[in-house]
Amino acid sequence: MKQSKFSTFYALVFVFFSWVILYFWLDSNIIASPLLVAVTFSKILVPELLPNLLFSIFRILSAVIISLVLGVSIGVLTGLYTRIDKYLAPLIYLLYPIPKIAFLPVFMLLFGLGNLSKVIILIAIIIFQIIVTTRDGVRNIDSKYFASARSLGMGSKDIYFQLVLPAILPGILTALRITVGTSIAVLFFAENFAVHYGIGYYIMNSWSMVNYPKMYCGIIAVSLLGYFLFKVIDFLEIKFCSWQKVN
Amino acid sequence: MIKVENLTFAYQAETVVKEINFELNAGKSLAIIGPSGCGKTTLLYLLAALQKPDSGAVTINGKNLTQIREKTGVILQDYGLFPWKTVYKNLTLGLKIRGYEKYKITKIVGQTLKDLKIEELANNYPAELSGGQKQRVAIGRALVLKPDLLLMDEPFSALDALTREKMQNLILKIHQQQKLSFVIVTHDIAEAVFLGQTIMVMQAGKVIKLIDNQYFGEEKLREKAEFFLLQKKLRQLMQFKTAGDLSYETK
Repeated sequence: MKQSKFSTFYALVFVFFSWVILYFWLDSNIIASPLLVAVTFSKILVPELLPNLLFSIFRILSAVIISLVLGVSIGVLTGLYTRIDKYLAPLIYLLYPIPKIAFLPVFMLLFGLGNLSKVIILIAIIIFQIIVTTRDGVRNIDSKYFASARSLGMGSKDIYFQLVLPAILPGILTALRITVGTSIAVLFFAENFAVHYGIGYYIMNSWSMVNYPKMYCGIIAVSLLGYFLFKVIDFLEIKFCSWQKVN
Repeated sequence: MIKVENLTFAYQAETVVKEINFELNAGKSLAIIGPSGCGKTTLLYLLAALQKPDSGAVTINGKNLTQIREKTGVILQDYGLFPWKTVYKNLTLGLKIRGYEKYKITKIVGQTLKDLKIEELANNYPAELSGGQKQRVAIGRALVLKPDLLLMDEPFSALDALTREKMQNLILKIHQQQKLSFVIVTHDIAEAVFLGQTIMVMQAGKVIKLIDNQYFGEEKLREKAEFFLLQKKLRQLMQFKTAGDLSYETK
């Protein structure tokens, strides 16, 4: 724990000093004073940043939860049943590499300008990573565990919950770590269209109004949002995957 | 207890178990020995109902075996313990599946941990255990189900010689105390002689010999000359290489 706190402190010091150096070196309005940003941040955190952050968190969490439920189910089915995989794998391989963000206008036309289109584009990006990781995770489960489960009299439901899910959970959490980074970046882009709340909107709005301190406050808020989500994933890993540490 | 009639099983085109017949009475033990690929593990899987025969039948206690029995304990090669569950949770699994109440599970698992002297390991994960400790947990996981039949697939093959003997003694003790029938698949001749009341020699999917072991269960059997003589006999039997050399004989 001490080590982890020190690492976080070290990261903060590193970012802060890099910023200070850039501020004095470039001497431009576009690199706002760290001190000014810190003061502004403390002032606008509750009235301005928090509501925007909450909107963004809501969009990301909705997308992550829906992607997990659908992605893990599809991944488990394709991993366990080669017949289903035979039909789904080509579809996944074709759709996975497409830059989904390019379809934002199409999603907005189909699902409206509000939250739904943003959540769906996030799902379209996250879900493939989860499907592929889950499927490969299921395939890598040693067959001796299935024999062991059956010898104990486990039915399909017990095999899913006692064997398959715990075995693939570490892989899913790794996939989540990767997708959280991507989803924040995508959300930043998606929140620039037809919304009035969301941290992406807040940053771009501050930028277009040439209010650089507020823009930086938004960027810090995004960084903290990512940090918070990564910590949640770390917590889940400690809670449910501690067995991996002893292996 | 177990009656096996004309049991045949094939993996795709290859028949690995060919028309096997035998009987095992309640409270008795059977050791199945043979070279790798002779079909002994498949035979055990058929007795556990983990595989379904292509023809023939397995009857246990007068009932045709069609699905996994509640009262059959199975110990597989490599133990089959779930690495994501602690020793305690591995032991509770079979009971939970069978719908036991929580207080009963706590009582049975607690007693089994105590009997097998692995109480202090209850909160450890399998990866933290030695081979012998893992084996005790695997035995515990089968015993909590209060089985009347224990099926073991080369359970001690990964253990060092001394630990292996300790585990064999433990199985013998459990067998004698609980009047438990068991079938053990092994490629270790000494193990077959020590743990088999009947020793079945298999080759190429067939039973080539069934031997009654009159010395089974004797204390300090390993120190007696008969132990080595029976091993010599078994070794000679297992050295037959061609089908023409095989003889089928039941004593």
